[in-house]
Amino acid sequence: MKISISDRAKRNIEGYLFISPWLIGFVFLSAGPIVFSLFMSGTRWSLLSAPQWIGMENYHTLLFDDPLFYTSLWNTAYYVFFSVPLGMLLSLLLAILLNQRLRGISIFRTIFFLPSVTNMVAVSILWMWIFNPEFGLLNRALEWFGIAGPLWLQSETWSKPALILMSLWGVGGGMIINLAALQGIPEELYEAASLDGAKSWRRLFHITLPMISPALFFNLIMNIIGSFQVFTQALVMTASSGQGSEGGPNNSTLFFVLYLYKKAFQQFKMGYASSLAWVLFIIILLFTLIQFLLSQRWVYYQTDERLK
Amino acid sequence: MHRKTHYFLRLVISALFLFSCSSEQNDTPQITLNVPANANLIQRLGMELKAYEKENNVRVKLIPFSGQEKLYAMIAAGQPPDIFYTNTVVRDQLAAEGLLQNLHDIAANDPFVQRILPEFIERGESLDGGWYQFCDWTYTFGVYYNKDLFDQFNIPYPDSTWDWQGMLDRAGKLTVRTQDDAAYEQYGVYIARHFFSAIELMAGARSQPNELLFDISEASQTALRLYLDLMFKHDVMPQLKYVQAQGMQMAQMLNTGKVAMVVEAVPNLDFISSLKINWDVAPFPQIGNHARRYFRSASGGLSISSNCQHPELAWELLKWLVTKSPYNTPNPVLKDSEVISGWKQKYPILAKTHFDQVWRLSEQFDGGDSRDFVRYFSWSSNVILEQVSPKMDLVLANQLSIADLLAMKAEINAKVLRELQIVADNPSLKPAFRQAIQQRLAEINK
Repeated sequence: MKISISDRAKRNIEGYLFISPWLIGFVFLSAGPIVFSLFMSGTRWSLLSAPQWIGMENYHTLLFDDPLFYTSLWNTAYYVFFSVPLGMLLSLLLAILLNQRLRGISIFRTIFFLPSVTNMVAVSILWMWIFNPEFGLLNRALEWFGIAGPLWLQSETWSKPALILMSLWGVGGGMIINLAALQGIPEELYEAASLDGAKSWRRLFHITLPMISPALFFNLIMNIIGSFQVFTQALVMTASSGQGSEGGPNNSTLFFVLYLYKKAFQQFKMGYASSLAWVLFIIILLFTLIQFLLSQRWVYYQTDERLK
Repeated sequence: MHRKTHYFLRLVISALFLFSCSSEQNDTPQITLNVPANANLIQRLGMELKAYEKENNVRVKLIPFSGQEKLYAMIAAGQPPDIFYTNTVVRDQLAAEGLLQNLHDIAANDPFVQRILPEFIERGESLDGGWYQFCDWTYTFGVYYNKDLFDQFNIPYPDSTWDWQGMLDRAGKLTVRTQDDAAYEQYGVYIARHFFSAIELMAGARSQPNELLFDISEASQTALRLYLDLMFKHDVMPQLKYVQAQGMQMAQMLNTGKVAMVVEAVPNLDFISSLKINWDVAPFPQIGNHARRYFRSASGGLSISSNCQHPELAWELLKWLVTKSPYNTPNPVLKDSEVISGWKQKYPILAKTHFDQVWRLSEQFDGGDSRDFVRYFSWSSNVILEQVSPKMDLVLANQLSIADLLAMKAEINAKVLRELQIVADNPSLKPAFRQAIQQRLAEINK
């Protein structure tokens, strides 16, 4: 069918109209605030009056004159370092378990997935009860093994591990993606491997993991980004001695975004908070780029030459 | 365009026009009032305000929210409520930016001002002498105790003559360990972290409004030692970290019999309504030979926005809230308010307690507002608390000494001075505030 130019233009207009809600949303609700925050990071602004332009001073202060910046960075790195691998491993194990052909398996899949779509504030309050040192579920369970449980959220040593443990509550999201990837692996590959005498471990390492590596890679990127942005649980669960005390005890749960929030919405230093946000953006960008570079070594796409 | 579509669009536009007309109210002036996001309070106040609106030919729109974030966002958008809650830090910041009405200007000729206790006007004044905050409420504190536990252990009830040692003796007898001596079954006393400043006042520490530099005076150090000793020497008070970890509420502690004495605000509506035990309240014990100084906290107050179109009406509403709103009366910030009899009438349970004694002593030995300690509410409190709070976590867990905390003083104040210099250089602040801070900085630098 011959399409005239005016028809093509018409189609283009239709196309733009179809994507316009997203486009308008992106420009005004994402791109606009992103550019504005970059501008704000070079200012001193309390929301109450016009921002004062101070150039790179905020960045200089946070890098050379703000020990809490490094404390929050360290806490976040610790959290990412433990919560990401643990979450990845658990979501993979669960996906493998839930990939069985059993009666009622879809009920189990729903049960394991549900926590990941539960409101984080509600989840945080639930976990505060679980971590209660006297009558909390966790310490009661530890008691059965003769272990005296720690104070968890009130202990400088155990507060971060507690939040890492809690992060496993949300592995359902990654699990679903892994499960979808597992179900996309052609059965013939396993049959051929079995004919060649491959045992289950070999099948896992030589078929399953390579075949779902794009899904694992996606989960890894998303988990790293999500973990760097850990916030709600720290805000809700660690304010034991009133507003302003979030991130305790002794700043042991002062994560980067929580620190940013405190600067922005408790001290109303919007410029400084924006500079923190841009530093976080750069850190996450670097990590993501590194992951993309490393992914060439371990992620296999089905169009990959090695699999053809 | 199809005819049907044309008619449909006309219908929609007409409906929108009608809607916009109907949403336009008559010429009755409107005052927007920020209230805490508390469903009960909103419902009760909403009902009370109906009569006020009718009587005064004014509409009052309630804007429910708590916390500063929303207030600042509304101010940034140029739409703050006409009347809103401010604490001292927020009050000073907003006043310095010219965002609050000076109540001295509005109420210059109003005889009502004579009815307010002068200290509550002073507490609402900022560095430039302007009155920016109507301190609309005050409370003191006392020791609530479980009378049945005292009877059970045959211990005399506390009274107005008891002292710190008397409290320790009683608390010691009321602290009970389990039979196998493995844990505590019951503690003698509990004083929450935010009431530590009450001990400070009683130990002779002075809180100075509009102070700028961080300090822990000798008296405060003494108070801190006494407080720590309750937990780590005499073992009569549960450690703060355990209580915080368990998320126990004060009333819960008394109701469950886990603690025999609890220091809390007087009057305390939560206690009045939720205590199910046989309870009474006693004045806080005297510490050594120090003169009694009971705190009377104003906990901030209500401010009128400089954007308010009808400041006089807003002022009238403030007056009504303090004097006539059943929710807020009888109000202790007024000279002629019958606080004791009024409260006893309103809450008959108080008649069986020593509430009147606690209240009278707080009037007689008014120690000021413990929130005036520089670390709580001042121009410098943000930068001070950011550094001090985490260390206090350790001090109160007995993991850091008071001397170590004191050693941080110079470092903390160096940062305070840097922050204050930024404030003093801020061109958007009203000159009176900048000059006041610059003057204080010059005095400090001398």
